Amino acid sequence: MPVFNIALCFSGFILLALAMERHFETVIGASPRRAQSAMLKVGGWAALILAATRSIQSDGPSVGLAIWVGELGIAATLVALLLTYGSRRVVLAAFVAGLLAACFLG
Amino acid sequence: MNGMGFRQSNAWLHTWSGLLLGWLMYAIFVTGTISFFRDEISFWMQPEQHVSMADEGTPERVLSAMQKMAPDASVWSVSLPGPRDAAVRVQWFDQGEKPSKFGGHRVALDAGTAQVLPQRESRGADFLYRFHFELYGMPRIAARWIVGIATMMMLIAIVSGVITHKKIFADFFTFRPRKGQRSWMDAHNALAVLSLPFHFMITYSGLLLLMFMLMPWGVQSAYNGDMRAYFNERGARVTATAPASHDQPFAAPLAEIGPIMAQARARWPHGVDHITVTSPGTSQAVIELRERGADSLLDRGRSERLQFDGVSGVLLESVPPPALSPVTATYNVFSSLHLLRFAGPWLRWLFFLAGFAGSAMVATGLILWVVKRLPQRRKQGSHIGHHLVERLNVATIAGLLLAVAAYFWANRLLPVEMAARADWEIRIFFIAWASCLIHACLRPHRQAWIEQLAMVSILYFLLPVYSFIYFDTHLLNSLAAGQWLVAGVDLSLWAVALFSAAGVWFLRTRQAASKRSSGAATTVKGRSYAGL
Repeated sequence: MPVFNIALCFSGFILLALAMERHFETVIGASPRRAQSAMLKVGGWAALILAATRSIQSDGPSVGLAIWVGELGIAATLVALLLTYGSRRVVLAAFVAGLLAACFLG
Repeated sequence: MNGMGFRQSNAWLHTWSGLLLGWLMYAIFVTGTISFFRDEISFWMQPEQHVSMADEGTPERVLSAMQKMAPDASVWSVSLPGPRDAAVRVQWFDQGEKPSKFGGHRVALDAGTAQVLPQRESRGADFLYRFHFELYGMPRIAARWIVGIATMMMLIAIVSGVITHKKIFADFFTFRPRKGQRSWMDAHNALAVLSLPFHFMITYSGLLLLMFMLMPWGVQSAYNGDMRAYFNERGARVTATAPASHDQPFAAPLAEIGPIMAQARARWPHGVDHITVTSPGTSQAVIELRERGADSLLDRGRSERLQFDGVSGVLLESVPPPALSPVTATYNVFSSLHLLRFAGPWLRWLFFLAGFAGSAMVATGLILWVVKRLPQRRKQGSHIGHHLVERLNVATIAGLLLAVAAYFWANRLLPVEMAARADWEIRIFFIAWASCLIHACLRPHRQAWIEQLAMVSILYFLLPVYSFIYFDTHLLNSLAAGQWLVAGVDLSLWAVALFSAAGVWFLRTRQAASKRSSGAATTVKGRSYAGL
């Protein structure tokens, strides 16, 4: 299901954004510790890679990867817009998206 | 470029390659993005055919209609309706005529009644598709070279762009609105970087496709000049041939198509795309079915075929498709990714959105060139080059969208019986585009933007409205009947209208803000001025 896969990419990108000092400060209000950043980065990449494998599983390597690349673009754009216009709701959005993605995995 | 660092020389390269070919790249991106929905739009441009609704009985109905229409034909070729085209496209060839893609007799049939449907003389979306890689009204090869060079420059612009905007990854996810030049820069970066894999893939595969058309030398040397061997291996086309028979053919009724279709449908998840009947109505008749698009991008054009005896309906021994060579598989992946041959609707929409982002990336780049030089122009007075770029930006970015709308309107409004109607549709496209350029030169820069975008918005908004008045398949009916093929195009036209209206709103609020601030003694130009 495309929606779930986008949700997975979306939560992955939020983690990656929070791994960056600037966005972490806007959202949380403090500087991230080095270990925190590293963990967020690992978690973010893991979510993106998981999305890729799910996509390949359902559509095969060639079409699956192409779909994944398209979904990455949409998810990243949504995260950029959220950070600009709704930075207070980032944590909530990440939570909802993560929940959606978890339903899909389970 | 002495004295310039690596980054500056990349910036120089990015700025000037982007400006010189930016307008062309924008046109290539926009027409290419539209071409992802080429079949859908072509069907939308045949409103008389929208009534066609397929059901289980369509193949049978069509074949018996063929029996009445072309009993003596050597070959019938029937394209069944699918998710991207609701009409049946049939083609037949007279005895002794050599079957070819554009030869023979061709008509569209209603899938529900097998009646011949009226066909507007129109190039449909094929015009925009052709424009995408060979422009219009110039020698095909020359045009392909121009597009090829633009594609090469695009690839250079992408790479040098990533190097130039040194903070492109540090600024990932960053957009700072209402900051003039800063905002345009952020938007340009975001549009580029958030879909970077797509931009790179589509440009690279486009270049590969053009290279195979323009410079087949690599292939020629690998295959010792035997291009036919290469294309045979790549396409591996099997055409329907009647099994050799020494008996004289005699008249015989065609086998029932129903059970044959059932066998094929059981085997193919996406159903049957095409039926070819050779020597129909004789004892030598052969019915060949072709599978609708397969799942993998590797096997472009290699959908499976099944042959049946045309009289008994018995499955004949099928020829297995030859194995894929790695070269062919690689070429197929790239060309299929670019052409989206067998893509499902979701991938098609994803690519459409990414293509839209790409068009916007080029557009914001062009606007950025103007905005960046604006403070300098304010100080030093106007400059002919600056003016020219401003005008061309309006006429290309807004003007092309307007020209496409004019093309669609010409398709709706030109009399159906008009001579050279298809040519006039295209002429109106270019007349509209040229008018946009003249308009952009005559009006003040920001006014030109506002007026053209407003016009774009109105024209796209009214296209589906026109269908409400003149066609039964307007949005209310098509949505109620679940005809997403027609409704999807109509709704997308409204989306474009909405987007342009947002552009008008944006420019007008900026205008109001800058009027207010210019009244004050001290103005902070960067803040209130969007740069347009």
